[in-house]
Amino acid sequence: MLFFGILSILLAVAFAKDTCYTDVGAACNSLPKLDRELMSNCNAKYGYTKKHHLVDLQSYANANIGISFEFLLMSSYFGNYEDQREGFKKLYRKFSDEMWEDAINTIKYITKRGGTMNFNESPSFVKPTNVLELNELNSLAKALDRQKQLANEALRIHSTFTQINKEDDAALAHYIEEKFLEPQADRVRDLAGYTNDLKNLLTDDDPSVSIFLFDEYLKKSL
Amino acid sequence: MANSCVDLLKSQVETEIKAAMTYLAMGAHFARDTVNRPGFSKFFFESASEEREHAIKIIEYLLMRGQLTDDVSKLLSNRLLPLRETWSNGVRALTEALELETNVTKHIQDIIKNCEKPNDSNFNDYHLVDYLTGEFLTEQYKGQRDLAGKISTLGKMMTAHGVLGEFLFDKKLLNNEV
Ligand SMILES: [Fe+2]
Repeated sequence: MLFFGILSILLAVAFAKDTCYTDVGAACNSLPKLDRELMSNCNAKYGYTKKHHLVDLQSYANANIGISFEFLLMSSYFGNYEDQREGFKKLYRKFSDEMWEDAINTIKYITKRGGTMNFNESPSFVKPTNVLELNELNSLAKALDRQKQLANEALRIHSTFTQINKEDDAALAHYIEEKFLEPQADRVRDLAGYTNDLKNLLTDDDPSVSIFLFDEYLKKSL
Repeated sequence: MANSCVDLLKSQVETEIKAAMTYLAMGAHFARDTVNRPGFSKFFFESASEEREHAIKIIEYLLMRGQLTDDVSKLLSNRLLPLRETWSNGVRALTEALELETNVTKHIQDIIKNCEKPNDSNFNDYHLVDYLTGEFLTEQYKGQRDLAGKISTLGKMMTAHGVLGEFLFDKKLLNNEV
């Protein structure tokens, strides 16, 4: 019994290094001035985030913000009285709303895992565009490219969590899978379908009626 | 619409989005594990989305008035950043939010002044002036009053009880009780 008592004390000492518990013990025993450093292990960092900053997720959140604004402007363009495509307007507004929510959720997840958000971490995987006044087919192509860029980056981030660093942080991987990989697959597939449909419809003698009908279909289906 | 009036109204879109970005940073700051103020975080994240909605309302108005036929790309610059990323406490963040809103109100008043009597045209844009006054200024004053009230309550709670005051205020904020 005594042996186990001593053993457990020894174990407690051996494993106690860099835990919040020892920080708090030290802080309370020495009656120090209030100092955050004394509690440096009292945080939400564990698994992958114990050693790594979530830089990729920071830039991913920033990418989502930027792309959300792009979609907002693309959507607005289709709302002007000359272009007048309410279906396209609705589709891109929906993407804009979703990317915005994704950005906020990513920021929340970063902080959940003990990280901080850095708005200056610019995403290298996506180049901002200056021309968002696109015709119907070009806009679909652009939207498809954007969604694929987001999906590919999510796959890359996922693989760094699971393979490259050998950290195997299932919690982080699951978050990416559920919040990004699944909805992105749907968006990519939908856009690929729209693009092909519209391209085939444009071979018609009078494409303006085809586009009108396709836009009406988009509006009703969303 | 007078050109100068349209230009000012367009610039308001970015003003609203910039405010959204600073609120986003406030939400992120108060969500940190070592800061842990979920009430403040929720409040500021919601404010961020509200600011984005304001930008969308202005865009919708411009579309209704026949604008944005060829220049939507110029409404927003490429990388919009928050004013800062950390705040020393809740009062400081709320105070900065109030300053931000006061500034936005000033912008809207400038637009109203110009669109009523544009320097490049004789066109008095009654409808836009009415819309900005009725919809936007009302929202602005309500928002400013709300922030000022929160700053007072939190300030009073903190004079005697410091950190405890902020802790309690945060939980009230989380449940929309303050
Ligand atoms: Fe606003």
